[in-house]
Amino acid sequence: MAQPREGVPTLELRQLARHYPSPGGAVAAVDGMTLRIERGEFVSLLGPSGCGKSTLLNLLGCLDRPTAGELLIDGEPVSGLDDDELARLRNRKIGFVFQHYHLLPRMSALKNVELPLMYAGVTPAERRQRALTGLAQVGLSERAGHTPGQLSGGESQRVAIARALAMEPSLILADEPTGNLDTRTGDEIMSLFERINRQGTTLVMVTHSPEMAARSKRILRLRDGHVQSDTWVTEPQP
Amino acid sequence: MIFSDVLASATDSLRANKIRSGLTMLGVIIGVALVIVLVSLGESARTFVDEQMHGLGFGSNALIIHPGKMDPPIEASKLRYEDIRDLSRRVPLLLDQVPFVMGSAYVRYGDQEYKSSLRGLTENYTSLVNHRVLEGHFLTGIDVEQHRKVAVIGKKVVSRLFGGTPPLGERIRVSGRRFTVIGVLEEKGEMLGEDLDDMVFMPVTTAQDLLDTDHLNAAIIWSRSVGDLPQVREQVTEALAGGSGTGRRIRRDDFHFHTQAEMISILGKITGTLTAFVSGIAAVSLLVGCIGIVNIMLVSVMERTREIGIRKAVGARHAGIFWQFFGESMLLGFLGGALGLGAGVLAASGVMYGCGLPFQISGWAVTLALLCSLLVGLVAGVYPAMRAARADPIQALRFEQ
Repeated sequence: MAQPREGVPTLELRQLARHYPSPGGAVAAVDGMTLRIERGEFVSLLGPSGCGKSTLLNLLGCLDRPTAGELLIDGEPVSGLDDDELARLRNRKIGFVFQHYHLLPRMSALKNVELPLMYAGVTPAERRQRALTGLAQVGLSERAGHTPGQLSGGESQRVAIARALAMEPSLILADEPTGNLDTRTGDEIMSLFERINRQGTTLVMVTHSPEMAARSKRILRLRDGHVQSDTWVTEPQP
Repeated sequence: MIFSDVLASATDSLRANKIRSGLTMLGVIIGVALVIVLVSLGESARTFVDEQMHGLGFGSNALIIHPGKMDPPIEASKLRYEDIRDLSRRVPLLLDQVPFVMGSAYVRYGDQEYKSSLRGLTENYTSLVNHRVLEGHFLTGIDVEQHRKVAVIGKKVVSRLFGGTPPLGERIRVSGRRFTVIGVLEEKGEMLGEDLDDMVFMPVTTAQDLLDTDHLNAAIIWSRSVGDLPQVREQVTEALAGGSGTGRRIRRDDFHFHTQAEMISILGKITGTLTAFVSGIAAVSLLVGCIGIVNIMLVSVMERTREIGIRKAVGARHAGIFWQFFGESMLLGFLGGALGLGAGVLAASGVMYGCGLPFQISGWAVTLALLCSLLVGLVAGVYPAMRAARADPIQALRFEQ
């Protein structure tokens, strides 16, 4: 897979829209958004429920298709790709972190981290090696054999982050990643995100918490499917 | 996703729901076991009959003439010894013939008495059939001609009547008449339900006197070669119906022929009907097994909707999801087949042992049953796996259990 070209934004949205049919006419959850997210950015999507954050995140993650407009990931347009090509794109370029971790309950932490590698066709031996390295990076080497049921919330989320990083994607999409965690654990997760971002990975995080948003570099406030404000956080909070 | 991943995922999923998986497989297990038991038993029975037929050694050039109609099987015998006696002289293609009178009678020696079977036949029996005299000698032409009261007896008759006494030359009573034992036959065991060792062989003429009849129960004729059998059949029919040489015409529907092959095939028809019946049950069982697997796979897909969403989010393609569930269904079918095979072999050997049949597991039944079980897994897996593969990732991720 070609490395993203220098100066090409990780994400580029051109009049991107997602309409849902409804009896009273189409409802626009995302209504013609145009914006660029450059490589290495750490962006928060902030807004009340129903503002289109989740729809936007699904579009950016190629889990959903826009009804209008264009989305480019690493400069490549996404429209025109079929389901399997989108799956491959998600596998190579995008890592997901969910509020409810979304780990597979019967699998060990290690196997969960191996999952994207398996779908990428990596051999079992190399998978294991890379997954172990990934778990070490999030500080969970000793928990490799544990199943999600045996892990705390913070640990589960770190396994999920290791899984998101397994394919060394250019983009991490996080949906309320600290929403299920206490303040201290949430803080640890945010520190982990900051570290990942410092290493050059683009991060887009949906949150409803202004404190969490303040730890990112750029805050997009959404309202009714539009970007209401686009703010740069000059001074990251300690 | 490579084969080992598919297998690991399927094994893992079945292991997580052991009881459910076991119950799901039950239909396949029963179906496969039934197929194996039935086909193996059928083949074993056929081998048994073949061995018995061969053991008596009528040979494939033999024809059996039975009096009466074949269908309905009325045995009002019009066949007499004199109809059969000179048959080979009247029909050149015929090698020889043996008439049979059958019955039973009390046999007695000293104070030992019991009911045994009688066979009235002619002196050429031992030279045509693989049944040898062990001591003494067999009947002679003169014995037959002169209605002599001489007997050649089987081993069981010897042991039941004589104990330790040498039987040759001894006098026994058959239905109260005095007979001289002139020979003892080698052990032969049972043939088609009749114990050849528990029999008293005597001249056909003497047997007719004893049973007060002038009819025969059967006759066996041998053609010179197997290829001549159809002509022999025709010519014998003509000879009997025309009454040439005897002046006695027998109506064509007062006798009929059997070849050994036909007798085997009659047995085959009986077992065949049974096999068809139980094969039907096996097929229904496999079908039910198939539906059971479809059902449980649909449940499994629904239970794991969110898992499907997660897998899709991290990059699973259609084929990856499809194979995960398809593999599970195939494994269910295969395991069901393997367990059914084990159960079938056990049950079949039990029945064979119990019935005294030779142990025989039909290779093609095993192959067929295993193929069926794989086919069941395959057919049952397609629809659920396709449903899983087509799931919308967002819907799937939002799915609440």
